[in-house]
Amino acid sequence: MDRAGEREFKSISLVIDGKAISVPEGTLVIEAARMLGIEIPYFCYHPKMDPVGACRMCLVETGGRAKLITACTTRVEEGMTISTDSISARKGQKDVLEFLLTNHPLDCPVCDKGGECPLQDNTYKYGPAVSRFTINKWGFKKPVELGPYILLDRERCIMCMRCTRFSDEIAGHPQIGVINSGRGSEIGVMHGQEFNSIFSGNTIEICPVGALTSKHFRFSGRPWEFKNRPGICANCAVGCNINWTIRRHEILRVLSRENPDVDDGWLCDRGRFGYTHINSPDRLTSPLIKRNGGLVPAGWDEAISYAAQRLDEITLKHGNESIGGIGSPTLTNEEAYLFQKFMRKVVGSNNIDHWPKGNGAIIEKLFEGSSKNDLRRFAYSHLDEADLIFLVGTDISGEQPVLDLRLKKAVRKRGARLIILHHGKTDLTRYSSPWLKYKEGEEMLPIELLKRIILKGAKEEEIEEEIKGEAEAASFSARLVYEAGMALSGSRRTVILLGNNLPDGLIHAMFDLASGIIGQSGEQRDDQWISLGLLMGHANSQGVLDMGLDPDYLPGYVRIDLDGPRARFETAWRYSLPRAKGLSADEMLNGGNNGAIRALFMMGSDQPSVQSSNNTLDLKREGIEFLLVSDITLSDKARMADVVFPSCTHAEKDGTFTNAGRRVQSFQKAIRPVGNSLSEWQILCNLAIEMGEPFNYLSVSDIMDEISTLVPSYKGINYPLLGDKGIQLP
Amino acid sequence: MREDTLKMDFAFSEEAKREIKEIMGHYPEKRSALIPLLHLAQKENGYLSEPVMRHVAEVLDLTPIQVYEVATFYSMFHLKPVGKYLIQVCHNLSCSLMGADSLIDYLKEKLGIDIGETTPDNMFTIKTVECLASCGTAPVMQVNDDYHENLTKEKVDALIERLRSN
Amino acid sequence: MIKKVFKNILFLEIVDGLSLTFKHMFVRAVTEQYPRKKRVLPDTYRGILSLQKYDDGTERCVGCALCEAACPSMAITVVSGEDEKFPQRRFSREYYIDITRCVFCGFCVDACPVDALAMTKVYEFSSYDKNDLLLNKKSLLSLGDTIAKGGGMTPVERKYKFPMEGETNKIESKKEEALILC
Repeated sequence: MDRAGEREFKSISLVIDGKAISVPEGTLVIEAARMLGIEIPYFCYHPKMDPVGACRMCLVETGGRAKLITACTTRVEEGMTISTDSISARKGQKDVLEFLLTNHPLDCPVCDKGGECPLQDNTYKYGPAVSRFTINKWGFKKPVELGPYILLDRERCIMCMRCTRFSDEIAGHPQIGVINSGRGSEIGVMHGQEFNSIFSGNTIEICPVGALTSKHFRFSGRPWEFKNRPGICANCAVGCNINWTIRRHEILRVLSRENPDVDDGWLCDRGRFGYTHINSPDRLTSPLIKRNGGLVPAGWDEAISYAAQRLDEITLKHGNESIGGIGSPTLTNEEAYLFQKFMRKVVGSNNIDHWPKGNGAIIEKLFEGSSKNDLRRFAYSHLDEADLIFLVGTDISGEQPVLDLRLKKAVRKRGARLIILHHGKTDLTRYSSPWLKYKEGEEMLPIELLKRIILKGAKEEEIEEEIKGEAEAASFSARLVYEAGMALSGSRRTVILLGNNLPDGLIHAMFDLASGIIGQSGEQRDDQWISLGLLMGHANSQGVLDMGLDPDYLPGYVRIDLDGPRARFETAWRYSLPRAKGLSADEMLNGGNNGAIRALFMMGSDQPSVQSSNNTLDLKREGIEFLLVSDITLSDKARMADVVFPSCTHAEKDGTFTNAGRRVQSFQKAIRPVGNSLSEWQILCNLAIEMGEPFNYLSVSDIMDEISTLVPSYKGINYPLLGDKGIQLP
Repeated sequence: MREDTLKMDFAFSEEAKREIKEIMGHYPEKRSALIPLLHLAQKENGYLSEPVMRHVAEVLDLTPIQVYEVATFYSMFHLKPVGKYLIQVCHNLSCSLMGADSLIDYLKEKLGIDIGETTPDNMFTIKTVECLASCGTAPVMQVNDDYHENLTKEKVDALIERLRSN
Repeated sequence: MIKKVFKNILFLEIVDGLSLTFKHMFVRAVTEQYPRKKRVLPDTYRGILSLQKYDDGTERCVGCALCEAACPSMAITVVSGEDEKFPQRRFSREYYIDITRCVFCGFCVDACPVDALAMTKVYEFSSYDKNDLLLNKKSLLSLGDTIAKGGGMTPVERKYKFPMEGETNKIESKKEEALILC
């Protein structure tokens, strides 16, 4: 709820427990108390949801009123005197707890929440030691299965309705509700339907009792055995901040870690339950070398020296250019940087790329050439200010779910306008006004029409004429395009988001459109801005591009074929870099490009996000004499390899990711590496030593220091500065 | 029974559709028309089966659970088929003090059914409800739309007899 | 001087010393002839720990790990999970007590909400192999069985071991579908 809003609020003075405070009008009493550091117990209140006053726990006494009031639903009034710990307030809180516990079972020892349960904590702090309700508590036989991840123990529920409010207000998927009334109330789903919203897992985390439990995590441990270590989710490009719940170097669950600039404290189910690969029994624990047609375990020394020897052999026989490297977009910035440095310096080849690849480099280049300040690079926080959000060919709800929540917040709570240009129906199209639907592959037509409306001032009738000729491609009316065009040119603060797999021409057209709107002069356009972004597909798609894991660009999008800018790297690396343009991943993968590629180094694991992407790996062994792979499991590509290095997942290493909103976020090792696996940067360092060009990095922060001196946008970034919230790139 | 109802489809009659249009015109938001629509559906179908609720949800752009929540909240909506005579006995404070509990037991015994059940001949359904706002004449029960006040066992006997013979 | 010489000649010290020895021939012995003879232990004796079962043979332990939390010497490790035999019920998938670390304080027994842990009167568990002293669930349960089998427990012992018995909440299952759709 955006209470601050646009209006000017006057400030209100009140006294809470003898301490005076002034807060803006409309603040809730519970929030005002919190500002003073006074704790009022609550269950149903949640700062991100509308107040409801369902649990009655936050009773406080206010001067002049006979009855206790609920602090979570009462807004502050001038001259109010609140006391949270008077005898009657304390008695009210105590009695409410006694009521809540009439039917709440005292099965804390077997309850998953026991130990981190607000009801338990508040009962200890405020509750009665004994209950006067000695009658039997009711019990239900079994937990109800609400959805694919969630079980409900009905007798533990205290009807705070946080879960139903979340699924309705925040997620926009009202799939669970309160059934029956009075004492018989329970949370439930309609028969034959399930709570399968992609945000369902959040309800487990916000449930103040153990009523909603996770099927994966259920019964697996007690909170006092756990350590929570910070991390970053690598399942999509949003880069949500998470906490790993760890017991004895095993990851048991993923919790959200609020970062207002990234995730707003929510996670999607893909991130929350997508951790099983980390402690999977399929993980590689030692290097493998192909011998007699089969992969056999070997020691690190042996595997590294064998790999180095084979690479040297092939270099001598076929030249530097016959070796190629392909990284995964789940590599950290440091690893991506080191990998391209390894390929360019140690191997001496520009055949370096990442895969799966988007077309983010285009937008980087476009922005480099533009000098308009009002055309901003997209950051997530822009969504909180935007009047208009224009989505072009992207299904955010499916690809970047947590960003979808931010969008819904903007649309539903702040009334921002949403325009969607997409060929298919998505979760967001119901909020879209209008939704411009086009035939797949014909996305250029609406953009061209918008350009004509906005930049050339075409009238609705002209557009109608235009569409008539193209009736095949457009499933929208001239009216809708015209409306969208008018909205775009009239809006003050616009966010335009492009999908990951759009044709290059469309990105150029959108950029022209955006800069065209900015360029139109007018009086009311002083504080107008447009924020344009391309939503990348994977955890570090943006970062690997920035780090130059690309055949055409050095780190910081420095063209490889321009002598001037390249010289900076040659000085820094003390090496003369290869000049020839390298091969792209597609060319290298396709059977070694007719013999041009004799050895291929594929670095980085196929983590779930990469596996689920539509592009399936099309690697052919023909023509490739030596295939070197680093991966976390024996994936398809690892099976084909001559040498396999076991690498770490992002829970086991240090590094940074750059998310789709271009925010660099660091994460630390949460558990020790599984088996003998090593981080990719360590593998590269070892390999470089063996190949006679040692790097001298002791940790990833050494690599980051080097990056910050060479890549302009990462200038000045270092680990202490990144902290736990990350840094937004300019 | 659930499988049967799931298979069944429900649609409003033409007349009801006209009425729906009129009802929806009264409210700024579609959702507000939920209760009148449920009443209408109940009138047409006799009770609110799952297909009925799903259909209402569709008409109002709601999810089925949102309709289900409302339907289960109010005792006026029936989720099961009810008999010809719906006997709603108040068991709130005043009526309880005046012997509603023993009256309910007596009714259960007399009709041979439990609360919420219907007699095999589809004549009677007993439900317990909260205050019927006639505390001065407790105990009270409501049979379909009529109040029966100051009840005693004899009065109940006579009433049931009369209803049976109708 | 003469007295000293006299004493030395007659070996009076020996007489002195042996007199105590002979005196003790007529006093009741305080030592016990262990291992030939064994002491009768009190019912509250804190010997090696064991896992208990209900009378019908099901395990008591629910895997709550409160014993693990209570243990001052970190001797207990519990890995809980879902019971295959009784779905949706918590139980201890693995249960270890490192008895070499145990200080026999009995805190774990106090912490147990279902009286699954009990201290036996067994104190003879020395071993040549330290690994034998890392007790797993199987060995702890069989230790528990020895209590039941060895002539059963006295009522006092039973009351001491299972103080919660008789207090267990009877949970009446509510008619689940009463209010729900047909």
